[in-house]
Amino acid sequence: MLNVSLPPHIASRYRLKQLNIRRLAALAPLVFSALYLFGTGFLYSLLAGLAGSVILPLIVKKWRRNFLDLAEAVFTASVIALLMPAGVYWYYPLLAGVVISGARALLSEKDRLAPLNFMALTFALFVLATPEGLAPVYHWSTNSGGWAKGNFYFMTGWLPLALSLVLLLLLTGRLYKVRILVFSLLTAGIVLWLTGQMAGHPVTSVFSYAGLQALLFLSGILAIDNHYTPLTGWGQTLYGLLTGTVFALFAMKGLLYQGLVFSALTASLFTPFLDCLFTGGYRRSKT
Amino acid sequence: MIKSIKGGKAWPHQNFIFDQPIEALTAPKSLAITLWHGGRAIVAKGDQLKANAQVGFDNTGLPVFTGLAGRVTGVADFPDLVARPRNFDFPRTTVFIETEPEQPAREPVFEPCPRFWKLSKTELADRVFKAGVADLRNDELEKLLIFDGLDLEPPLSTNVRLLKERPEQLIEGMRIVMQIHGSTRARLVLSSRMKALNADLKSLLASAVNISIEKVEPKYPQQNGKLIRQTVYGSQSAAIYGMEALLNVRQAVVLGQPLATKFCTLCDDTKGQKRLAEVYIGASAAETLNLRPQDYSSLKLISGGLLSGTCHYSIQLPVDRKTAGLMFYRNQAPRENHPCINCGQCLSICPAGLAPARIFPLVRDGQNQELARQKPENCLECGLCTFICPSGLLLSHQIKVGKMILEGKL
Repeated sequence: MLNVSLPPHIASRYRLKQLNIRRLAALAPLVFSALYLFGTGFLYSLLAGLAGSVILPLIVKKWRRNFLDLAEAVFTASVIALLMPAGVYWYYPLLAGVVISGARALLSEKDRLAPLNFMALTFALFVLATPEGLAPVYHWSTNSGGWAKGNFYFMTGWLPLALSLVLLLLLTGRLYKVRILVFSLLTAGIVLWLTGQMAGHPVTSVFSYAGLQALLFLSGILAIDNHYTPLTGWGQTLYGLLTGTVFALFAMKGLLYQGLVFSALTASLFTPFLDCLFTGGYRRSKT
Repeated sequence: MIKSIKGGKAWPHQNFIFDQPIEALTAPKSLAITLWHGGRAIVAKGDQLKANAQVGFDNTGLPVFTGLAGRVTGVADFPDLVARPRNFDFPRTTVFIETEPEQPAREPVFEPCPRFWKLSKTELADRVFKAGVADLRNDELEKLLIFDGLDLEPPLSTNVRLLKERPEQLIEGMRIVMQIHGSTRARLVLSSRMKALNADLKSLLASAVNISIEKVEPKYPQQNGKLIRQTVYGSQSAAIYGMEALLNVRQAVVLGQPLATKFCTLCDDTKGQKRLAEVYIGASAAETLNLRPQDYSSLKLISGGLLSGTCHYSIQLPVDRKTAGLMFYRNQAPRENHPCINCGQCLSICPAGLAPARIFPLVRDGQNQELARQKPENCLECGLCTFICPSGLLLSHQIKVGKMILEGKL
């Protein structure tokens, strides 16, 4: 007796397990440079985020040695830690990890987690709850490129961020929603430039190295966070436009971190609408 | 201008066997000639048959022949041998023949007619029918013709190889088919990557003013009837002939030979062999691929290509007129089956413009109204969505189920 299965009998080399490993590998330059620059502060944040990301799924899903859940938890913890302000109390990333991974674990039986980007939501609540704590953020240091230390753990300079983004692009290949990255960067740049032209002075000054770094981090990571981003090319384009616009509006007021968080949250709320808009009659069938 | 389709996938050249010649026929020890479900045998157990003798009629009424002389050992229902989701079989009437060790040359069953252009349209169609190739005895045949010279699904490679080895015979076949259809316009569809083949055929077809070459980007499933018609003639209807069908028509008319052999792509993953061969219809996969009866529980026998071929559960599977390839493959690791991650890859690869990621949960949850809006009936069943899905979801199968639900079959 032979083995039987349904066609097709071959599969693409892009598998979910490999995708998760590749995402982690791509984030490594940013994580290691943050560890190098911020030392124990970032390490505690990372460990607390990891603990928070692991605890609740462990209880909810009983964790049957699921590699994918573990990889997802490590990725989530890394992004949580990187998004935290430098010198943050250890329980902030722990709580963020619990909330984000808990929400995911509870809803993971569903096929799609959209519309709410739980990571952005958690950070938005964090921003709203601690406006004083984020006060120094309004005056971000302008990094001079290469290695630099900013107010947030992801502010490690051009080099590690660029390396992480290039690695993400190369390692995740066509699973990387590159339109989101391109259009959010383009839109933010155009909106700020136009506003500057209309105001008669360069508004782009607030869109410094720090601002660009924040936007790159936002759109670069969003582009591989498939859960909250649209399926179709057109959807991804509009999502990128929306993210860039919201970010630019916040950036004009000097609220870069708020822009980073709220643009992801706002855009993800539109994901189901964009999916419905373009998948109902996604591409007019020729057949 | 090179035409193309949206979506689809172009496989690299090394996935095919375009550079190996087609191996000559070898006689198997036995034949199991299928007449399909509803076919009728005209021979009985113990009958002695000559090569090219008729054994019955298939389910469409076409005569079926044996390519080898031998003794009929039985006429019985043979299980379908296709792995089906619900494990139900359609038994096929089959004639079992024990072949003779010494085979005489195959005598023509009709008088050979090299000057085919002297025959009328009706006479030609009659010959093609009596040879068991196709029923073209219809007054309302399409006037536009497409000759499909593409091989896009790995590793099936017979169309291109036949074009390389037997172009003159194929052109004769094209002329006969055009005469039967009363057609004045035909297109030979070739891959734009095959530059040498394109040039060779262009010079051969220089005198044939009504057959032109249409270059297309070699993206699977461009060969699908709907897509190829759309690409070549827009919305107009056209008849499509593969290279093997043209050769069979030519053999029936010019040589007087019935359809008794099949060109197959044969792959044996356990031995690392890939080859093209002409095989007698009715020969078993075991004899064709030189397999010994043993435990093959970790292997797959696939009839057809790797994207759309079907798995079978016995090495006694006979070659029939639809077998494009036989593949003996090592079993891959079981498919992962994770929730959809919303990557959108299935949407970008789907040549029919469907959204498999959206159809999948609709079928599962029984949301039939919403499902109807997604138009799963447009699915070409090419299998590319399942191929590309990083979560390992059986999307194409789910769409098939969705189609059946909407048709009221489930």
